[in-house]
Amino acid sequence: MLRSKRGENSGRVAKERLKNVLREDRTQMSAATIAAMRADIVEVLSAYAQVKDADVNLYLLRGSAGDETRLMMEAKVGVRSRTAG
Amino acid sequence: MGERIVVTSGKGGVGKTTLTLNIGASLAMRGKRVALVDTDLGLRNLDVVMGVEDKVVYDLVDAVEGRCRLKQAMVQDARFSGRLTLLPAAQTRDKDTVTAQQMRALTAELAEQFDYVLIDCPAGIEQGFKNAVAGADQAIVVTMPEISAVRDADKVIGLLLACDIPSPRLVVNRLHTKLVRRGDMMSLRDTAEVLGIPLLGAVPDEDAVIRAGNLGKPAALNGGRASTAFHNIASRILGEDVPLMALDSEPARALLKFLGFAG
Repeated sequence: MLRSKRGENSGRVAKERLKNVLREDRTQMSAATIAAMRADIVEVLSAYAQVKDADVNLYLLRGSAGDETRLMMEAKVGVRSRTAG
Repeated sequence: MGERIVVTSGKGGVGKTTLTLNIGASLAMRGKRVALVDTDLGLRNLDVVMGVEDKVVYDLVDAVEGRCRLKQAMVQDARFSGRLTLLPAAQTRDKDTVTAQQMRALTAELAEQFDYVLIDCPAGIEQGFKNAVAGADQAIVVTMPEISAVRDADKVIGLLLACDIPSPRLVVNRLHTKLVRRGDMMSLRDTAEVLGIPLLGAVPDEDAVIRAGNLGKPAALNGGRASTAFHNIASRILGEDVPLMALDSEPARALLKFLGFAG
């Protein structure tokens, strides 16, 4: 009985919506720039592994580096094969 | 040289003024000399929430423009043995009256006489925000676990980092324990995770805080969970290692562990 009777956990929905909005707020990069960056990452990694454009996920996270809080870019790349693509 | 801390949020109505007052009150109760600076020019409020509106003679703009000495504009609160002092905002001028440079000089002068200079920032990210931040070395970002407040807090954090305030700390204010438990409010943990800055404290939404504002009496002087939360925040500012209160449905230990306050 702890969950909302309306069924939907609106706190969780808020968190997911925020994550999406903040990703765009923080980058302040155009969709074209992000696409170009993605293409470059694919090109560089392709010398070592088989990687497709759709496997590259870019995230902007805030985190601590020593005493400072910084924006950090994280790229998660799904690898299809460990031979050069 | 005292510490200069700006309390900011981006969005209005999340509790900047109340938090500034109560952190100041708590620090003063422990013997620290505290100056509160209301930088919300044109929308003065800290004086009424504090309950010293009758004693305001001069204001921040009078001091900056030399119509009075800084000391003459400072309003002392008799309840704290003279250790809690307010520099009120001007009510008839606007945000552009003062420059960032003037604000920096003003807070530097205060930091020579006080252990803590707490700067209550106006809502928004325009000149008033820039001035308030210019006078600070550290920042506390206040938010509520609600989508628009968190988004604005995120924006402000980005601006603070760009203004060479390297490690702003977060206070999640007005947490509704019941709503969190029901899944209808982001938890403390969710909010801190999304914003990605160290957590300085969390304050439950409590009627006592509204009552305290009505009476012009800092909530930190009374009992209650919100009051305890304010004192805990002041303790952490003083460098003490105080665990967070359990305000969510999550088991307290798991929460503390996540936030790095316990092993």
